[in-house]
Parts: sequence; structure tokens; C-alpha cells
Amino acid sequence: MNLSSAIGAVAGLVIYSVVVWLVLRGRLNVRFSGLWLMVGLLVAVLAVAPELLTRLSRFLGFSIPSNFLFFIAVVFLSLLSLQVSMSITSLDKKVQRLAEEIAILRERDPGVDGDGSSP
Amino acid sequence: MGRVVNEIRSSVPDAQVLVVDDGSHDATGSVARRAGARVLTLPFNVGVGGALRVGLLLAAREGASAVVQCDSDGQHPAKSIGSLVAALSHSDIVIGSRFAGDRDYQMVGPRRWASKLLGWAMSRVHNSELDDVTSGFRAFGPNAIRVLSVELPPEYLADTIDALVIAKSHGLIVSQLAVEMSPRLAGVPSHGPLKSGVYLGRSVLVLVLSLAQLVGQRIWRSS
Repeated sequence: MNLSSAIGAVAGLVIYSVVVWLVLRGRLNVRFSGLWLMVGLLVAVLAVAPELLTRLSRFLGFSIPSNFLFFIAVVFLSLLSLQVSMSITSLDKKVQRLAEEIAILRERDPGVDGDGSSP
Repeated sequence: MGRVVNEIRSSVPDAQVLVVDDGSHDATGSVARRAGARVLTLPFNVGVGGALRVGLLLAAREGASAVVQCDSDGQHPAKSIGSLVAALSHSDIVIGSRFAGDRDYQMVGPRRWASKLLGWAMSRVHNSELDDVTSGFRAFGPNAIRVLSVELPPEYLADTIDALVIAKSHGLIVSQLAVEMSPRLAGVPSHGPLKSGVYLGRSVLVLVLSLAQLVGQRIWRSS
């Protein structure tokens, strides 16, 4: 195993451990963790067996394997950030609805959350 | 604030006055309550669109037959509320236009361009003469109350153009009525040049998105 493979394998392992640690500490939803665990695993596998990448990229017609890797990475990150923007949008809507319900409850009963004024 | 509430109460004695306190840190809420208004106190600032949504939501739940939105700085004349509501008999949203009547009211810079462009586009979308689509003095009928309290997006600056686009996609009828504005009793105009620029940019984006949506709907219906 050459040095670059070792670096890649360690990187994959680090991603894997950080994700597991974040989930255990409750700072990352299990829902999102699967995705990142797969990324860690993929990095490690490709580092240990780079011929897998070479063969696949040749099959798909990429002249340089690293280009194929960058392409995959860009697509993955773009989709991920789009997904994150979508969840923020949905959270925004929920937060707005909650604020509305609080305002309506406060109007009906000013004492419902203390004095009814802004915190 | 108190003066505005009093003015509205004396102009339309049989209406309820609802003040939305959008996360302010001053005495807005208690002053308005003392003047006889009902007050909705939002836990944090949500912008004009969000504040309008909560007002409409309460109106929808209590089965109000009409809602008139006006600014708290007193520039929207309470004496015109009655005519706005009367105009709801033939439409779902009535915009109190600052331009349609006397031309004294002037805007400058990006805000003026935005206003011109949006007025032109919205007039075409609704097939009705609308000069002042950014006016914050509007009356909503029961259908508009029901639709907008749910569909209006909770974003800053989302109360004017978005409302008209949503109205179109739900088949609501929009018209306008000329009103003569009063000088502001308090406060300063809420749009500096930078904010006006942002407003123009966002409005154009909403326009492009909404036209795509309306065209899509038309294709969907005709197929």
C-alpha cells in the first residue's frame, strides 16, 4: 500500500469516526448519518483499491480518473446543499406557524407564557 | 400608534382593530391595547408578510367577513376603509392605490422603478388596472383571507407581490381604488436605497418564478 492510499484510508476512517461521534453526542440526526457514513466508507474503499475507480471511470469514458471523482463529489455536494436548503425552508414554515400560534394564544390569554411581552 | 387606533375606531366603529406587534421592544402592544385594539404579539420579528399572515389567520378562525391591512404610521387614511370594504363586493382583494387619484404621492430611485415594473406586470397578470401593487393599504375578502393566511410565504418583503401572485393562482379577483394618503403621524419610510434595491431584485425573482408557475398551471389545465 503506497502513501496516498494510506492517507485516503485514514481520511475515510476519520470521516466515519467523526460521524459516529456526532450521532452519539446527539449533534447529528441518525437520518443524515447514513449518507455521511457511506461517504466515509467510499473514500476508504477507493483509497485501498484505486483500480476500482480507474476501471469505472474508463468504462464511463472519463479520460482521467480524478476528473470522475471530482464530478461525483460536485454532484453529491450540490444535491446535498439543495436538500439542506429545502429542509431549512420547511423549518422556516414551521417556525412561522408556531410563532403565529403563540401570538394567537397570547392574545386570548396574556398570561399564557408569563407576561405576554417579548422575551 | 394610539392615535392611529383611535382614528380607525372612530371611522369604523363596528370593526375590530387588530394590531400585530412584530417582536418590537417598545410599548407598542400596551399602547395599542389601551387605545382599544386587540394585539397579537409575535415572539420574534417575522417581517410584514409574516405579520400579515398571523392577522389573516386569526380573522379566518373567527370568521371575519373582511380584513383591511394598514400601516401603523397613520399614512393610510381611516376614512377610506369603508370604501375599500365596499369594493370587496366585486373582488377578493382591493388595493388602496396612492397613484390612481391625485398624483401628489411621489417615489424616487429603485423603489419607483420597482413600483412601475411590478405595477405593469401585475396589471397584465390580473387583467385589471393596478398602479400601486406595493401599497400596504389593502382590503381582503373571505376567500383571500382563507387562502393568504396559509399560502403567504414567511419571508421578509413577501407581503405584496407574492400575495398578488398567490391570488392569481387561486383564482381571486384583484382590483384597486384610489385613496388619498395622509402625512405620516410617526416613523420614517421603511425603505432606504439599499433595501429598495434588494426589494426590486426579489420582486423580479418572484415575478419570473410566478410567471413560470402560472404558465405551468395553464398548460396543466389545458392538457
